[in-house]
Amino acid sequence: MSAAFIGIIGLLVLLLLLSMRLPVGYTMAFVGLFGFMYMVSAKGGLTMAARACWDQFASYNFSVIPLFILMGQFAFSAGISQRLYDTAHRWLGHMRGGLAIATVGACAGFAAVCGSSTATAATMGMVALPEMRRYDYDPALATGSIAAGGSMGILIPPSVILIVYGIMTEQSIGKLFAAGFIPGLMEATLYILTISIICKINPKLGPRGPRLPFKSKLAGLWGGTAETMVIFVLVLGGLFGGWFTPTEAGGVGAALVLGLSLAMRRMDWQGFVESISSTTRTAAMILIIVLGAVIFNKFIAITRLPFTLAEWVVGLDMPPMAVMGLIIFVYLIGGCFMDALGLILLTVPIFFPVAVKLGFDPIWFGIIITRVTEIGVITPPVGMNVYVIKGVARDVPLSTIFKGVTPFLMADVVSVVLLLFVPQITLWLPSLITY
Amino acid sequence: MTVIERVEKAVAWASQKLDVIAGVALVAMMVLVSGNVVVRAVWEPIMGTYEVTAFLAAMTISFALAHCAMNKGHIALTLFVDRLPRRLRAFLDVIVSVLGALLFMIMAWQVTKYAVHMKGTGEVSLTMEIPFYPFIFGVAFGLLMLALVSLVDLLKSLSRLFQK
Repeated sequence: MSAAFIGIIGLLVLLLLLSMRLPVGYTMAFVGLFGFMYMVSAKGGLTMAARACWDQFASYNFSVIPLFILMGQFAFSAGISQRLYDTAHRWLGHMRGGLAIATVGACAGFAAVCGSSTATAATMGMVALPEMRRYDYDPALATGSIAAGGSMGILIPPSVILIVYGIMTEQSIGKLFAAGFIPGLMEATLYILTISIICKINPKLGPRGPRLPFKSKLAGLWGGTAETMVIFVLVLGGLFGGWFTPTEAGGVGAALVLGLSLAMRRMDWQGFVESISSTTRTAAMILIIVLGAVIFNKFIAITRLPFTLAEWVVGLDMPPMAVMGLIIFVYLIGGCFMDALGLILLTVPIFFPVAVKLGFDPIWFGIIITRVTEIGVITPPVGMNVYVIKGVARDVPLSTIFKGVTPFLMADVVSVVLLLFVPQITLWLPSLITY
Repeated sequence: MTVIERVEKAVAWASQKLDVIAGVALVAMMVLVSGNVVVRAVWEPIMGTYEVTAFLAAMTISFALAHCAMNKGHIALTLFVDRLPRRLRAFLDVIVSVLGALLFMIMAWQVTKYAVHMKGTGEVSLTMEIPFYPFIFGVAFGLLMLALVSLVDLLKSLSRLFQK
């Protein structure tokens, strides 16, 4: 039996265990451990797993993850999302579909302090949905705009997925964050365009709100929104400028958001404790998947499956963009069944060598696959964000939410195509980082 | 209260207490990391920030694992299994919890061995010369608790399997 064949068997066992509901991290660790023991030796496998566990958990690099999650949780507990939405509402509410547009804007703002899609969707759902109901918005448009808007959480920095991708492929997290920024803004713009077009065709879906005087708009900036944006600029600026390590950016960000919420008297002891406890839970969830992926990848590397695959693909002599199309297809299908982080961790070691061999830029490749897995969070059957919104809007049927998401999927197709064929959108900003 | 409920309650209590330690480590990490940025700007870096952060991260993660599992926080694919009949689902749950318990007992045992090894070699961190092994024991303990949570799941799914 060739080594690559054992690798394929390993992948099949992995899929079987996953479909039996063994948690993603456990599954990867299990298959990786026993596969490694089979390929090398029992003792070698056991020692490898123990070392991998200590190395991942006690890692300065990975300490960035709990810190950025904490920053997002503090912002959540302090009701920053409410402030962002209020501001966007004042500025954009008078437009056609203005509240849905405000939702997308506020989602982009919240994504700037929060690294997760589901958290962004959950918090904006609670804030924006009641408002859109009050103004008699179409339920499909209302829920669709929150689900889609929330998906920007993993592209606009900080992003847990980009952190993990960066550590796995040894790319600079600062550059990846910079690379996600313009594609994230482009996504927000495309979503806003989508809403305008829908509401132009059928104005009843998103009625206009009252136009507010400029003074009131200006007043809406303070008390949360402007301060949050200043924190974003400080934290990401420090990271881009090379003054902070990513971990320091996370630590400073969390401390600043905590300080801001204390100053605004929006954080009590209970909110503080809840933020900490959700952070440790989320961090444990992420790190167990990371650990599983590390162990699994040690096994997969020994089978040389990724390299065999890379050589085979290069030997096919297909145009690189066609290969990229196939990879994207795998992510689209995979994203329908698996959560984004698990999918990226599982597939990056397999596809990354292919991408490098075909001469693609590693930063660009990371942004593309992150962008594509984002689509998975709003498509059936396992669109995480859709279920999160369903949890907030219990009376709206799932089919209505999926219907509401459909026009945004078209915007997603446009943005993936643009990213694919105009790499400068992604690579211009990171090219300015010189350290 | 049945025996299973009692065991579950005890494990839930212990993992919740561990999670509190994880939270303290997390806050300490935030204070240390951001404090270091400030102190460095006006004076000089706090000694050993790098390695202490890594130790605190290890405690944050390992001590939160069991509590996360207790709350079903670890991501799994529920899509296929949800449609199966109840009995079959309970049967699959038995297998899954056996695999989980087995995996993390092995991991806890191996990490303990690693800690004993590191104690023997007396390895310490670079600048502060803090020994590694107590923290490695901590990680092993967190993994053991995670295995216990899987064992509780095993008991629960077994009772469901044999329920009429």
